Amino acid sequence: MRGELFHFTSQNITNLAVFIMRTDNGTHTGVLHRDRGTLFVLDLLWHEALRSRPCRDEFACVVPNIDEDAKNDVAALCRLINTRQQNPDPTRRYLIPYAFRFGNNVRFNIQSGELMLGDGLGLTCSTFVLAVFESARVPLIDLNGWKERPKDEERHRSLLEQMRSGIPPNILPAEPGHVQRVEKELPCIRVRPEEVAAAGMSDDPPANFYQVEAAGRWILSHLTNGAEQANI
Amino acid sequence: MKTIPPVIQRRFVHEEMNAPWEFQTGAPVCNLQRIMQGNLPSQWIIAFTEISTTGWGPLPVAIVSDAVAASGEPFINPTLRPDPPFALLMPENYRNIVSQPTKEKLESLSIDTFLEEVYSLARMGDIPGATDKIFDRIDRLLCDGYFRVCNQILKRVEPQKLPSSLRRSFLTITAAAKQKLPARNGFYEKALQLLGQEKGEAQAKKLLSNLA
Repeated sequence: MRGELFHFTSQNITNLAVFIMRTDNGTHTGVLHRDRGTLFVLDLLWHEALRSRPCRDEFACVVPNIDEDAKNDVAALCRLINTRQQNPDPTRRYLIPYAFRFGNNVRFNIQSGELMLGDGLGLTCSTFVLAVFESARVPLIDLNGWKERPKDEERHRSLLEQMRSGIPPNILPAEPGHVQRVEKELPCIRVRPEEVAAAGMSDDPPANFYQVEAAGRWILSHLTNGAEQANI
Repeated sequence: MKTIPPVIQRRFVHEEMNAPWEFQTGAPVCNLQRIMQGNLPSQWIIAFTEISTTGWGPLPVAIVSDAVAASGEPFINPTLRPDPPFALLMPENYRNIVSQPTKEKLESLSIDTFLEEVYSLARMGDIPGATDKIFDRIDRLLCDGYFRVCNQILKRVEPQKLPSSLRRSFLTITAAAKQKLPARNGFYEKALQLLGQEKGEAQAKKLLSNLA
């Protein structure tokens, strides 16, 4: 894994990066891309809450170790998604449901920017990033052989409860029917946000479970000032 | 008059689009000018349609260059001239709407302009701009189902005029429709060859393996 691809700031990103940040009770990831000099943030914040706007914050991030030509395609797809998300008609914008299992054939249509969920119910912030990269034919992670971890189910249950109850004061509960369907898919594998970012540091993406798990912990240790130690 | 097997008729309609054939309400229509020039193989000179139409373009009847004709039955052979008495039977202001250029045809006419714009942006080093142009144009073509025009683009694009990033963009955006784009294979091979020259064969294969 290439630790030098991890950066504490995002100012100098030339065209594409995967950001990683801590939240109140976990971590969060998304894509940073530069469009005509302006850095944009593109991430799935929550159920039906896609954010695509100029980046006003500083993020720790990983510049993915992928070919420059591939970065160009991923960035172009991000611009396409952004264009769609800025549509003056709100009904033409994305309403991406939140769900934990990464379905088969989840893809952004590279032409139209449409999201096709395949047999999935929705995305998380992590699988959103994976879907963006895979749609440009640049898979970051190989999910074959991915392990289910007890802590992951715990996290899924906690997030599910938030979907059910909403997050006061601003976030409303998701539709009960959707929450029910999502619950039925548990337990399922979870790709943690820091592992998505870590996949970008792989010597040769797509990275496997063992590579990104260790590197994810390494990133986390940097985000927590060493409170959680790990090596890559 | 020879009987033309349906398969050949379809081939004519779908692949001989350099001829000014157009569709309107499902009717393929042939341009008499090309027939009179005798530059079509005789066994293919058949106009067929389910709605049997014949008509003239906006030009005076005496000038047959814009005439169009179609019929439910084979009715013409390459040695025939248009039959003036027949033409005179048509109302003066009659204009067969199938002679209007279709959107698809207009798209195909602007392929060279589009490619020149892409080459030009590439020469200026505006790779994001060129990528957006490629994505946008191919997007519309594929969404509208104009696979034939898209295929023409892949046939005509000169990979050696593009940097590797834009060659990849053409491959990325057309990957989902590759079954309908026979010219894509040739473009892929050229892109692979050029990338091999730039980065070595093994690296090129690795970088483009997801786009075959």
